[in-house]
Amino acid sequence: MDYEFFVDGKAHKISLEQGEGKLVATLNGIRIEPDIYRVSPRAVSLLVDGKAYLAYVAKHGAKTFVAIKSSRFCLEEPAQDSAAVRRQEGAADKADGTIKAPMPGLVIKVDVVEGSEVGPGDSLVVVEAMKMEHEMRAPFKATVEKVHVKAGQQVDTFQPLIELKPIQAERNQG
Amino acid sequence: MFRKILIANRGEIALRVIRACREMGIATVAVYSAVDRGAPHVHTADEAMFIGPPPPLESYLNIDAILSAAQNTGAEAIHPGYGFLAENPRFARRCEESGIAFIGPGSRALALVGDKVAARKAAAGIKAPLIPGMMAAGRSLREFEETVARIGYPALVKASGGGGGKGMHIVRSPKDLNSAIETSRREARSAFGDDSVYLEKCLEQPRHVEFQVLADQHGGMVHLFERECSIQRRYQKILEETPSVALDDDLRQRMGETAVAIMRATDYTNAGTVEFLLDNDRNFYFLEVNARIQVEHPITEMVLGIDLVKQQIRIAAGERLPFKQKDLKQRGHAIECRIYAEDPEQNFLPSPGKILLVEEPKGPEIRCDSGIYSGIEVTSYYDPILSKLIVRSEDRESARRRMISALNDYIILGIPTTIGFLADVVAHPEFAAGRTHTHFIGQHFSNWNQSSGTDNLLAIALIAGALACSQATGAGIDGRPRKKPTPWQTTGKWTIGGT
Repeated sequence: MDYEFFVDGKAHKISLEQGEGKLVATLNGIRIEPDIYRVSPRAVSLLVDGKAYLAYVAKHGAKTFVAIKSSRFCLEEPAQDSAAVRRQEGAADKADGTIKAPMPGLVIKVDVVEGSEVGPGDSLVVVEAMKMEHEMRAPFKATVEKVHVKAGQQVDTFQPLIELKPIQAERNQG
Repeated sequence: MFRKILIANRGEIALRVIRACREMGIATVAVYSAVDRGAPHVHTADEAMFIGPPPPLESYLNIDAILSAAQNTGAEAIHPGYGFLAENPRFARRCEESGIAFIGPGSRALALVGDKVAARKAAAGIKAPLIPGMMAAGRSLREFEETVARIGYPALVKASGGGGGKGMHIVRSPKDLNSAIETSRREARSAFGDDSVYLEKCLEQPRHVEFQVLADQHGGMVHLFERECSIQRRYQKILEETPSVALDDDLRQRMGETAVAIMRATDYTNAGTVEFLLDNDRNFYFLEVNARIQVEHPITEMVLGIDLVKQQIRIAAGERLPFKQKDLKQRGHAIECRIYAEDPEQNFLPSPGKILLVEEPKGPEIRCDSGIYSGIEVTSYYDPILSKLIVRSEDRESARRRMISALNDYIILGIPTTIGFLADVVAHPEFAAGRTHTHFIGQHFSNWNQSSGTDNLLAIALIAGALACSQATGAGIDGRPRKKPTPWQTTGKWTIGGT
């Protein structure tokens, strides 16, 4: 059975097969034959070439979280609505000028109105979560095209807050 | 002694107080907001009372709701924990007026030391060294401008009623002054219900060293030595240790005596902490008094063998301190790491969400004060602290190694936490050498990312993840409809070394 996961935006392909009384994993063309022992519903012990690993695993939607020794991994399945895809979109949109909420929280202040001109570093909107304020600043010189939120509104991660139209880019295109 | 105590807080500190009460034979009442029905303090206490909607102002800061919960359940005392109403003199006074004991300093001492500006004046009164800055809360922008012209940049805007780094902002140039004041006021109003702020000089690379004080209602007062809390981000402590490598016996004694003198000058009772900054030339400056049990109190408990929360309760009930200064000795070294729901790879952005799995570390002298469990939803309404990991050992180096080992064994899956980051901080050679200061994180860890280590742990993680997915879909690992159970169901078949 083949699996594909995104880890930090990078794709990894892995296949698992049942060999002769053994599990055979093929990862990026490399064959690994781990000895597997299920310790609990959430923990599996793996022995690879005599080295011992205890992996804790928890699945939530398209995400699989794994902890081994001091490292923590978030494996994301490449589904259409997965956070991995949204994160890629988020990065692309930032260049286009869509400012999105970085975390779930409360909009406590909107510093701009539609039509305002902003310079790089100017405060656009302030989102609060867990008693800490997070100031969203303009990444470049722009005109505020759209304000999607108002103070007092709850927002979710990646929810669009503000849309900016870059001033510099327009000039370049013209 | 009280028969029933209401805990006006949530999270790990509510559980900490509930445990102390249980061991003392005191019944407990929890209070909870609409999002906290599933929080562990609700099902650990003997009784639980709903106090309002999720926003703190309508629940954990709602004095009327909390007092009526106490009256309806017959609680004789209220423990405020830290944060929320812990340092609110109006709340302490309302408790006193309602005939309910407030487990903390009296409302008068609280008004004096809880207000950082008033505390500075009290410290000046006994000639304790002070950080240059305002001696009264600032009103107009001009007052701030005049002070900063006198003391110079960088400066710090701080909330008079604040704590835990909330409402605190550094100002490096005149153009940032107004927005820093405005942000501080807003955060302070939201967190403490008081928007007065003031300004003081920001020292270069100081250490943060504080002294724990206990004072009974009969004039008995001792300090329980220092805690060094230099490892901070956003002026909020994330790692504390005791003893501090920066103190020798002489400096320790002088700072301890100054701490006690400041507390005496304010007629302080119960547990409190006097915070100092220590510069490179070993000069110390009074910073503020924290008029509450502190997040980092367990490291003092670990090296002194004294339960501070029980002492708080006994003092509030009118008992005398059972020890004198000469009876107290530091034993070994303790370190605490604060585990937050924050993403250290994204500038410590809060990371609320569902915690899928929690596994706590085990071993000698490892203590985990936790407010979470597998399956809990961490909301964005409250402080992001999830738990505290505390270790003690014979000396600093063995405590440091014990902490690294314990952090590696501490599993929280589902949301980003600070665990991996803290493990790297504790393992850092500069930390190992004891060269700590309040800008340590900014200097050594400005763009931290989790390293995957020398082993190819990612490969192991992918195998474990794929195994979990094969189990979840019910398909065999070869993708065909399952005739034989997956390795997850027949682990015996795959076992070679397991028996």
